[in-house]
Amino acid sequence: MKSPPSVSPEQERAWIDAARGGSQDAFEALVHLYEKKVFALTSRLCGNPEDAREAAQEAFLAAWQGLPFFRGDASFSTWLYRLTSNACMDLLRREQRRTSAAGPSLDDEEINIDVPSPMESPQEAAERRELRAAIEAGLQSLPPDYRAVLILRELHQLTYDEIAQTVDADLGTVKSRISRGRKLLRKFLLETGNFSPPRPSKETGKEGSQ
Amino acid sequence: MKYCAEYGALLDAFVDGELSPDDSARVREHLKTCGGCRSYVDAALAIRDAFPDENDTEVPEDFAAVVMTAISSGAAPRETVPPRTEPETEPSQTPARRRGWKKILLPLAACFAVAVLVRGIPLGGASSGSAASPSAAMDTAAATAAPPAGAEAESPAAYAGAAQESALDAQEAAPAAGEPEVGVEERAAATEKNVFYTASQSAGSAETSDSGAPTEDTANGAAPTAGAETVAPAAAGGTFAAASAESSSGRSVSVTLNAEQRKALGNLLERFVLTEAGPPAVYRLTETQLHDFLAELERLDIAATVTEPSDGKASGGGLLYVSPAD
Repeated sequence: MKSPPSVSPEQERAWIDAARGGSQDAFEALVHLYEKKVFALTSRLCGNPEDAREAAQEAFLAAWQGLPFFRGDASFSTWLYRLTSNACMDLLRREQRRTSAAGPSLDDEEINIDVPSPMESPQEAAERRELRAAIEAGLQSLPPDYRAVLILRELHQLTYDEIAQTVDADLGTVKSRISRGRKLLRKFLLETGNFSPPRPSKETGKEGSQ
Repeated sequence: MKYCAEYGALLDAFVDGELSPDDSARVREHLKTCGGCRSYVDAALAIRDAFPDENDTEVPEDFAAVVMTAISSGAAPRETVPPRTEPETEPSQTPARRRGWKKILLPLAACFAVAVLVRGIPLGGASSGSAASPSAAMDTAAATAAPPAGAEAESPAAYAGAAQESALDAQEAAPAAGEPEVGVEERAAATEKNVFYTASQSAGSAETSDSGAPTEDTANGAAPTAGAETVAPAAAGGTFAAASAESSSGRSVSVTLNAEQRKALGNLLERFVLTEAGPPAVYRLTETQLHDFLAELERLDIAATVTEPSDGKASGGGLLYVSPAD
């Protein structure tokens, strides 16, 4: 569980216990502690700020209601992200039904990954900020289920297991969504010319810090 | 350059640190000689490096305040444990129930043409515990919140609500006692309320009308939840099953699906939190999910049975019981 450094796990634990017991002050502290992470998810999963806010609010209200039943030895954050992702997906599905827009389906088999040769331009790892903006755009181009697992992996830094719990899918599904999602994102970045692959040197062979 | 087929499937897990040390070493070795795979891994790491972080997220300044206001105004009342003296006698429950389902269904009906069979008996506990005598089931539920017969023992907390309902089942199903498997219609007939409710797609704004919070719940929610912990014994793991029991004494929806209907629903059910494999399978749904699910049933013309909470208060979300058709 990652908390801002200013909050110790013990402190967080104490807030969770107190909030479970009915302390609204303690729950408010938890809201402050997690609102950024929750919004990090809702703002990218939901199409607009209003929905992002609604989903975030729904997640926290559900957390308040569910806390008495929450077993403290589990990860509060994973549980909260699960509530968050559920709230987003519900909104998305409702939205989809309203607009009857058939988005890309997860069942679309084998995404065609025909990646052009990485541009060899010496353009120094094209400014991180620029790439970041492109990643944001790329994420929006992904089907929501792929987007969700990638964000949970890269931004929230959850393990595959935690992601599986969060999105209520089995491990195999999570693996495949991450893999396809990442390939799609990479393809998007390459195609939009926003992606200059990194110097293929030092980082290779280093596993992601999880 | 494309990564190679042989190792392609391992690369993401490698990047994410999800491989065994052995596999990881194999991949690392392979990367030394395979430009395609190396390029993929480099790309993945570059994406990670530049990935937005939480500080790239705008949170509305008043967000926490709004959430807390909602909570203190009772918009998200916590479930309270039924007093041990429950259940009440049937006649006194009936009016509350009727109020309850109206509160639930009118908003739903306003948005979608909902055709719902309303009756007084939740399906879940009754069907799984049908062998036990009603009073025995009731005692069990009230005293220990033990799962009904046939239930998984892994998620006791999830039973806080289910057990409560099974107590009610036992009580209300008394007329039908002795029948091992009672069909929906028959059960409905066992109570006095059997309403087929249909409404059309006109008033779209009624949705917000049920946010009013029962004050009693609010008061209890703010109080220590010793009761809740008594009824939901902290016995076992099943973290998410337990967590998913939030407001589990909300309404319940029962539906019987044949293979075709199940197929028509696609992976919708998979999105819900499964708290019991069943049958009937028991899912925990949020308010929104419940709302959407009923709409989907309506669209597919599948009949469902909705039961509001025993205390007549709808507090958001509820349980879904899915039984296979014979």
